[in-house]
Amino acid sequence: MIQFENISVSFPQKNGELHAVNNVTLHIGKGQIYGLVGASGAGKSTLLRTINLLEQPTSGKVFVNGEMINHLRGERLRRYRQNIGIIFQHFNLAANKTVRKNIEFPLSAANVPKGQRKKRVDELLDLVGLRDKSEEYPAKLSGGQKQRVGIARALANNANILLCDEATSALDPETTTSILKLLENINQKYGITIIMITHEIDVVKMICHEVAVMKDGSVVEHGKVIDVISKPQNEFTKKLIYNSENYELPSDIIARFGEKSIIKITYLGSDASEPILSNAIKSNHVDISILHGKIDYINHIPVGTLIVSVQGEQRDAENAIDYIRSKTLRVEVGANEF
Amino acid sequence: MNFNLQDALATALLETLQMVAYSLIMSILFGGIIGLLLYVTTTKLFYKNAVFSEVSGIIVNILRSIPFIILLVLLMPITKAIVGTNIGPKAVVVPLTVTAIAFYARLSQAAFAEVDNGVLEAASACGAHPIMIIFSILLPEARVGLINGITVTTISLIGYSAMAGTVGGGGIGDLAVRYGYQQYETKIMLLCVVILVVIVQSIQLCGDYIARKANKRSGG
Ligand SMILES: Nc1ncnc2c1ncn2[C@@H]1O[C@H](COP(=O)(O)OP(=O)(O)O)[C@@H](O)[C@H]1O
Ligand SMILES: [Mg+2]
Repeated sequence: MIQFENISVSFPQKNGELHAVNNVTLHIGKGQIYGLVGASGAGKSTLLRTINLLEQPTSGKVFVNGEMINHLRGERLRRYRQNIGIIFQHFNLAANKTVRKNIEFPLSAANVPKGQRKKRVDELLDLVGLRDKSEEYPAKLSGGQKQRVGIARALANNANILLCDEATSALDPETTTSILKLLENINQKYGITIIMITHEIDVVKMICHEVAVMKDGSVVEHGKVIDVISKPQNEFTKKLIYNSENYELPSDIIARFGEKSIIKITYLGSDASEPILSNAIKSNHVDISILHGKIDYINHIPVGTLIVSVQGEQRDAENAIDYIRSKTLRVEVGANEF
Repeated sequence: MNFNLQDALATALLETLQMVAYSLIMSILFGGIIGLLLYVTTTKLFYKNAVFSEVSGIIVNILRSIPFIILLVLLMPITKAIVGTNIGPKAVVVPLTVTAIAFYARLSQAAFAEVDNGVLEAASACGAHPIMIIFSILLPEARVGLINGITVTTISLIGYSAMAGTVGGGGIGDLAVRYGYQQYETKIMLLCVVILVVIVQSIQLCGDYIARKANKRSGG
């Protein structure tokens, strides 16, 4: 669907060049919700914007639906852009147009006849649940409602790709969830490929199928969300994920059980059908105390995290930990390690 | 002294009105177009052209930095060529218009530059033609700034037109200078000043009202 081949984007600066995107090669499959995460300034927006050529790659090729798009200009570029929607952190609605006129704009741009435009705008208003706001100006809408208008505008010409640049970053958690649900719904209903920039790992966990992690203009890790989140390979990815989870135990607890005895277990919901902990206790003469636990849903798959202390002879404890490791996604040893 | 104050005032008012109205219309039209050109040639989303924007920017600045009274004199040959005379309200309209065009060009350029770039970018990402973005997004989004610019230009024009007395330009300002200042008719001068203040105040109030009505940003 979307294929980046050795994409680099640099911006001229006073002293040399700024390499915002550095030799990125990445494939995004049709119908995916693809997350793009990384620290601020990592080059996420710049990479995303090469898809609709708001940013022109300095080198490399972008293929969309099998067609190389780098060289598109003028009328052909405008035609191409009509199939690619984009929504922004700050919505970017025209303040002097009503909701209806904002959504109608891309239809006019595509020369859709006036009679059909009204019908299409009504459909879109229904899709995003804003039928009763059609004659309001954006200033009268809440953030979530503004983003809904943005989504309707982006999809007006039946886009098959939707680019989201921090689309929920200006919204409160509740509104974020409702917008993410809408996006997921759109993805399922119309098979639209969605690419989501976010700095919130929770957004990725909630709706993304695959994810790429960017750092200093490069993609440092990518893959299925469940794999990247539960078994991050790259140090930077680990930090990104762990920073969003807070497993700091009180120091007196760590002192009481011993730092080295405390382990963090990450397991898939399906692992939970086996009595892993109780097996570990029975066959290894150890005691296990549970210190902390929670269940996350990554793309609707339950993923548990359990922090326990394994008490016993060193050999027994090691055996027990090895057993647990063999039965779960990941085990990290030592409270200071997580 | 033998002249009818009412008649003189009426004539002067009419002259001011004519001078200001004529040069205002020209400045909104041509100044607005030049302001738009200055803006679109500095913006990647439209027709970025560094040479054009630099050169026309310098020309506008030169016109803006020449004091009006000197421009009046400098432009005399051109004025004569265009309207056939160097004196009177008709003659004053030429330098007045030139000044006002340069003035409004800068004000409208600033109004365009204030439009949120993200909104224009969103329109561009929809696949809209730049001309359509200009008419359908840029102009409506800039309209409060454009209206405020018109208000300021009108008020400045009234001020400049009052200087027109030096070439026998006529108008309220001229009346104040000729009878009030040069012939020590303080009453007439004060009357003219009061009229000018009232006119300027009314224009400001009107302009602010229209701008407020046009502003959808604050939900007005
Ligand atoms: N138009 C531009 N001109 C110059 N530098 C830019 C431009 N756009 C982005 N950059 C720079 O490129 C780098 C990457 O920016 P961006 O892609 O916006 O990062 P992110 O979206 O990950 O926060 C940053 O250092 C930013 O300052
Ligand atoms: Mg960004």
